[in-house]
Amino acid sequence: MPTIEILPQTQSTHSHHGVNWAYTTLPPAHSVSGTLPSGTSGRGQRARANNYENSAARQRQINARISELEKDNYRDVVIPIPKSDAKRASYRSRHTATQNVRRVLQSQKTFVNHLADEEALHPGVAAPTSQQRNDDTTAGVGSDDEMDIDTPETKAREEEDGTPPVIMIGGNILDGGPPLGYARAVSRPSKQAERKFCEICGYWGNYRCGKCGARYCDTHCMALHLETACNKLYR
Amino acid sequence: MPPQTLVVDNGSYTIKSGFASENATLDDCRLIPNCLARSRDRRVLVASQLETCRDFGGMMFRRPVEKGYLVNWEAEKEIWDLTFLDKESPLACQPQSTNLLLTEAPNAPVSLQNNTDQMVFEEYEFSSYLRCVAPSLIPWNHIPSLFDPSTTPTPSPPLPAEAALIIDTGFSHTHIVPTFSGQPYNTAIRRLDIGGKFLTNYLKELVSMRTWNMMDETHIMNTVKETTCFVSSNFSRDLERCKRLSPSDNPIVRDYVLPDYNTGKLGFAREHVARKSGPAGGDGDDEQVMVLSNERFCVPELLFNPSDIGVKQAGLAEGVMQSLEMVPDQLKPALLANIVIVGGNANIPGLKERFEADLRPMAPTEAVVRVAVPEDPVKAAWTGGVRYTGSADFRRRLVTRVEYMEHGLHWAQRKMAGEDPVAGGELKETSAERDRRENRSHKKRRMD
Repeated sequence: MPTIEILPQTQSTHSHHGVNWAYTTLPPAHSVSGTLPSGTSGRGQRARANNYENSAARQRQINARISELEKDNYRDVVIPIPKSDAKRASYRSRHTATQNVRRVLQSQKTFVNHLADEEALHPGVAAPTSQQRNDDTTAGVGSDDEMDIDTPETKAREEEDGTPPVIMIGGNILDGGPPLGYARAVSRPSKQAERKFCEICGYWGNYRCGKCGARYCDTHCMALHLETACNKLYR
Repeated sequence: MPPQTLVVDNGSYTIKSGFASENATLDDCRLIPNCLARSRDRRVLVASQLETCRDFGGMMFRRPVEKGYLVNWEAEKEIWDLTFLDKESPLACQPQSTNLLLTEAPNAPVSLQNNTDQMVFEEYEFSSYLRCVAPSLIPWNHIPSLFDPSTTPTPSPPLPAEAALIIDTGFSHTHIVPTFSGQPYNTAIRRLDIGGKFLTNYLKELVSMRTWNMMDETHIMNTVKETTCFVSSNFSRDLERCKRLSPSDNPIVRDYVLPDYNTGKLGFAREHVARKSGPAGGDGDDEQVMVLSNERFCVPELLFNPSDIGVKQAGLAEGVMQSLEMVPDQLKPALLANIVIVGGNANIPGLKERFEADLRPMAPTEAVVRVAVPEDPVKAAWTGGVRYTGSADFRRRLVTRVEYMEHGLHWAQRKMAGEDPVAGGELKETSAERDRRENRSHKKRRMD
């Protein structure tokens, strides 16, 4: 299946005008690579090579590594519940389990399944944006009062029966609203630039392997990389 | 209400559990591994049975808590049965005459909450029960004494800190939770998918590539991480040192002597000792030494820069600022001055100092930034929970089994969330409900 590829923008004057994309019959993983008709200028080539960091193939590689790091065991294993001995069986057969309990115990759902269910059941619960939220909560308060929590207006009101104090802001009880849900609670990407490390020794990775895109720091690590870790065959 | 209350902080690595009492200490809280483990000789060890194990080589784990949320009740029931129902367990109890305070991670899927509530009431039959978000228990500890040891805890009844920003950095992830009066401010909760497990696996991967193949040795690498890793206060300087200095001149380099399960010797860390060349090390002894240099601080560095290995999320300090964006401006200074870091990763040396140094330039210049780590960051939610059980708020939210049987699951969940169910099982009308009802009647009128 042909895929559409965005060619890197180059500053050179002799580059293509108008269209900056081209059809290619390569699979998406390979579409951004050195196999394109190579540009005449070194600069264009460099730009294409840099694009590797943002390519889908690279992203897949990173994602695979991240999910690898989230595993409990290196290999997939199934550890069954041990057979109960006589002593333990006593409290197990204490009563017959209810329908709900049987359902919960037999469920083989993973967390991902539950998350998908949650999304399917409540699709439209949009999280308030930070802008909205700030507008809501600061609406009743003058913009000029910079205060800490002990000033009278935000004074904690303690109820008579000993329940914890309620914090008031501009006459409204402070309320964070309902939970956002798993997917929306994740923190946004960092504003800082990504740092690159040598994949061999962990020092700054200032150079990049021309064959596979891996980072390394010096000729020593480059030699090690080419000898052992370069996966040029798979690209 | 029965007098006995069991406080269970059901974490993904360990269950922190014990009975609440007026003068409970940290020793009253027991750490129970929340896993089934299979050893090399194919024995399956459940929870605290793991303590009897001497050979952790090639150990495999099955954990009922996945990504911080209690997912697999089949395995969790096995662990709970052994911990809370077995006669010989120190935590054995009669659920029918015990109250249960159970924690969960923030933003749990509703289906998992339902499963938990049903298991607690229908399988274990606890007399009464309250489920709450773990970081919301931290403010019930005496927070001011963390920053100023001269202040003394308030006498009972306990009250929560008015404002506290909790950073709960556990085994499967890290949550940033602003709390006001012990209530989490839900829209501002932020998650970072880096936790202790991720760090251990990363260390395992680095070491396996550079020295020994440890891919199957999760347990050993976890110990190595706990004994050797630290957070660097000056990352680029330390990285430079590890590159330029020879191992014998470099103060960062450590040896970890791997455990030898044949002779029963335990693993330990020590200052680097230069070894003579030769395949056997030349010393005559056959100890296997893992030399660690920049791994020691590159691994915990992920908490501050997850992008180092491509996780597209903000680090701890930036995450705190993202969370504060959602909080009303007047309350931000109070949160910044009361930051508490809890969870297993808070034990990594240097973490607090580095976090403070990273956050200071991002925070407003006039704001006071204070960061504290409790005496035992792992058990902090438990100690907070114990103090919480003495409060009126706890008694108000507690759902008895009779109430559950009479009014059902959703009524119980709303009571636990702090809504007032009035007598007769009718729920106090929330504004959303009233709107919906009014819209309906309005529609009817128009149709007439």
